[in-house]
Amino acid sequence: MTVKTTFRTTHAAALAIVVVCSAITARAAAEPTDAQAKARAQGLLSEGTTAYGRGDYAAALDKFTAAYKIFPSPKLWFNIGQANRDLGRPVDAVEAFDRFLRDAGDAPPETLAEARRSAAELKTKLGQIQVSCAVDGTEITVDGKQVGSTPLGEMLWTTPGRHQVAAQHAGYAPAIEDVLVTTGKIATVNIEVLPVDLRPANRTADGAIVGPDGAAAADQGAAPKPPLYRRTWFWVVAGVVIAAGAGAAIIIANSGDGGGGGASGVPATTLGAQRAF
Amino acid sequence: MLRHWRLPLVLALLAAAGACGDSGGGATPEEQSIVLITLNLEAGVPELRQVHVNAHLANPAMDNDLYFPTVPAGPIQSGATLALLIPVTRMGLLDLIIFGLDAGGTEVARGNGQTTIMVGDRVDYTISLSACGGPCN
Repeated sequence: MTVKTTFRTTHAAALAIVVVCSAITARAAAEPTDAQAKARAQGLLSEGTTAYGRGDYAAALDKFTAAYKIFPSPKLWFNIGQANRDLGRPVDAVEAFDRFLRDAGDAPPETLAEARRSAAELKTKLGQIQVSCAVDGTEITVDGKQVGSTPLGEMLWTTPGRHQVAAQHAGYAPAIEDVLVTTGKIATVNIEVLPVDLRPANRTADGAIVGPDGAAAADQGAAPKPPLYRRTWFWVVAGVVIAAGAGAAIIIANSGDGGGGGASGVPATTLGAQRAF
Repeated sequence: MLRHWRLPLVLALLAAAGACGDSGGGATPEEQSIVLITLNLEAGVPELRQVHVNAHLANPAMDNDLYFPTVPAGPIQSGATLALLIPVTRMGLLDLIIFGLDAGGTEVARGNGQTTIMVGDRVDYTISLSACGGPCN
């Protein structure tokens, strides 16, 4: 099983190299002015494939990514997907395979089939997040990784567990939502961003502070409120409460002298109890 | 930091708390002796509205006159009870003379007895009142 898988992977990698090399060569031919860059991309691809072949998936991924930056052939997504998959990054791998399937439709059927198979296998271990936001153009990040701006055309593949979805838009207060993702399920997040008025508050001739719209802004730029214990009313209320408590205690204590007793240890009497001497 | 006007307030609060501690004589049940007196009204005792208790402590010699209830009320029945709350600093023999007062405030019945104060504890004592046959001398 392992031998079969290794053979299939190696075969697919070799196939991908052929595909990508041909793509790069074709594009280089079409754009001779970029010939040097294409050559560098081909070299990086070759180095990445070598690294992948010896099991150094991290180095392979670096090479493939660098090659893509130099020459963004969509067929490189297949290599990037494989490297990510074997590095244990299923989400990145799925994204790469999906981009490959979406953008590299002219790739050989075998490579496309391998990409579909790998993506499908990986997706069985993942869940999805569907993010919606009323404000278009809001930048969405999942666990700190930028995933795009709203409206997001696709749901986001992610690993099962709790994830943090953040939204950011100029002129709006950023928002963060936690979401629990379950394998094979779609978790929906409706994230709301609220506008903030960043215009400075104005001060009128008499010194009063008004908001940007001219309305009084008592709390804009106003001096911070003093702590509770620095307020007069606090001490007045505290004094009243303590005095009332003391008075109640006195009354209760004295009530024992008038009879009744019981609770205070003084026996109940019909005529009362009084202090003597 | 307290402002100058708050200092008197805080002191007042502390004083109130202190007063609370001393309120009602300040004696907790464990800090006082109790003499619980049950009145036995003998036959012929007219209707009583109040009793006058004269308590005499032998050493140091002290007298205390108390009235139960503090304001004359309904007729006092035989078996009525009253309590003397005595600080634990007082001890020894306690002589009691009890007068029964009618509706006009005249002492018309009398009884007496003697007991020993049990410091910090309670003594139950019964005193019988007998009619004086008119105002007691």
